Amino acid sequence: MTAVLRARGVAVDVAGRRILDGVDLALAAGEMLVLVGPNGAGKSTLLSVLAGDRAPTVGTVELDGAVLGSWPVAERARRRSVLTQSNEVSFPFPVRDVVRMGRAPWRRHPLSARDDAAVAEALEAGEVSAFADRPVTALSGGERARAAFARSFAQECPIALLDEPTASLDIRHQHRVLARTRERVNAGGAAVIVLHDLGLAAAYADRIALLDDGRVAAAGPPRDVLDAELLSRVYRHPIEVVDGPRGALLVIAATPSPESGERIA
Amino acid sequence: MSAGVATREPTRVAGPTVRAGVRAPAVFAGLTVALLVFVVVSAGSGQLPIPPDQVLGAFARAWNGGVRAIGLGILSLPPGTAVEHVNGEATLWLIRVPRLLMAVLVGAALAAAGVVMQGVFRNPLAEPGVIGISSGAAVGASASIVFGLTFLGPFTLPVLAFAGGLIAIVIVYASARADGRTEVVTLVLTGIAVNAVGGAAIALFTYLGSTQQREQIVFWQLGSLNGTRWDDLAVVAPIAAVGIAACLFLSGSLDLLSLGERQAEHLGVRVERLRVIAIVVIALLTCAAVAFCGIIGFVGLVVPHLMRMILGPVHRLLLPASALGGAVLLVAGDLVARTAVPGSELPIGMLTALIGGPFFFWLLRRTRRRSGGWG
Repeated sequence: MTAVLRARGVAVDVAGRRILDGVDLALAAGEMLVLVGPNGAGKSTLLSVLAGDRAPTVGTVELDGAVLGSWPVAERARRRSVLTQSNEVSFPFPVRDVVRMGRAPWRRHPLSARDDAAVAEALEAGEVSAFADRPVTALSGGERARAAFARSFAQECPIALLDEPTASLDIRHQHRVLARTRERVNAGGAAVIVLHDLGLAAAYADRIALLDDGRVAAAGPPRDVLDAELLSRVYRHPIEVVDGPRGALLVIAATPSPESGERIA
Repeated sequence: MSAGVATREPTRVAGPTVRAGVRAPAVFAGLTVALLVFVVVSAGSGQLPIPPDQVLGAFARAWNGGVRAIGLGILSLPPGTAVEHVNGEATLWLIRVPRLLMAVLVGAALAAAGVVMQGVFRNPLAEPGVIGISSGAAVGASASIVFGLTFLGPFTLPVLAFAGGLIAIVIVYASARADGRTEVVTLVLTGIAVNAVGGAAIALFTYLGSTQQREQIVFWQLGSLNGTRWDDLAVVAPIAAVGIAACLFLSGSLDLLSLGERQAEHLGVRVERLRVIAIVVIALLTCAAVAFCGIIGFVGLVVPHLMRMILGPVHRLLLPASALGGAVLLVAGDLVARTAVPGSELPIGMLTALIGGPFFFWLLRRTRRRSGGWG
């Protein structure tokens, strides 16, 4: 297995607090890795380290076999796309223009010949064609999230990093986003996705990494990681995992009890 | 890195991008015509009126002299009507034309600086005057006036104005940003602080200066294109040209930057480098505008907004359109400033503030309504 993206012993300190500690993860081509964990477990921080937004305090990140920082910014943009959680556009660009911005890394590159096709496919993938000519600033939160997904989809990078891409989407679009990403992965790409919905994680992931307080508590195939006892401990909430129809795993959280001592991170 | 390829696609049927695609040539043509008309009218107006045909004749003869001098006499125009008044030609070439050219350059520079500033602050309310860059430049300029500094020859005042403006914008940029963008409140309040300090420094220099220097500083702050000489143009023109060209070079990256700083970096923009270049360019353009003509506010706010409303936010179109629009606004403004009160001259900075102030207020109200707060 050759890793296209690898974190080695990554630790991150923010304001003297260790947010991530000793994280080792490898992403192989053709693999969809889903990061799950409670609030504040370090999922987004790990994703931003993998994206190169944040340098790890300790450890290294390797992209296609070389240290991430040694890749020029433009070359990184052709190897991995990143979809962040918030996507606020500061000027009223039409959605179509925003999606087309995803093609910026391919300018003056032979693959820029795919610009129009890639934009058309991305508009379809995010199902944003209906409002492609409206200014992105006038859209609802979910529509904006879909436009942002379409933009990162148009980038057509071998590696896709997505931070909670389903957070503000309805069921149809949650599955659409993950299914389209899955298709890319099956075609030889790779993806790291932060998800809160453990059922979605079970349905789409090849591997799940469960983060707990900055450490990888478990990593492996969904059936191994989604263990009722482990989840209940990490989420500090009673969780059951049952087999659903057609081989699906159902993750069911108990109705909260007053003495469960919830912590809002 | 150009992302705004709005006009290239023939398949579009509706929406703002198509509108921009159709509108852009019309807007550029309209602005060019307006600029030429205002230039001819303004060149002919004043205490010594020169009819438009004589102005055109004088321009044609100057053009012919120019093209013949470089061996392109084939481009000659018909010489046109001669200027009747005995002092007409002198008035035109020594007083009015340099002043008009200065208005064109200053208007274009201020508007382009406004566009880049709004792009890099990711805030449509950023403007050199509002956030205090103009007063930073004014501090540098008044220091050079009061202390009679000439260590760089004719470039002393512009260089000091540039330094002052650069310091002001670095302070504002460093302190008003949070999470890669600037909130309106923070921006405006930081501007107030910088303007206050700048005002204090200018007051100090005014206090230290001689009567004549004081007058120079006061009028400089009011903003005026009066007394522009060809020598001044020789300083301002290259700075403005380089600055505006640099803006155009940045336009693709500025489009991507509107997605956010992290997002732009994910798309291959070297954000840190972009920021530094943008800030230097803004300071350069503001200083080019401010160095000889003083503080002419709100051009960088009003013009980019109007252009954005008409053409959309794609910087590749917005920047040249705003530069052209700024030139039109300032040439027209200067015409009003020179002719509204017979025998006297209004400071053009006062005029632009008169229009720009209420416009800024309206924008602020609109922004507040839209975002449900002062975000």
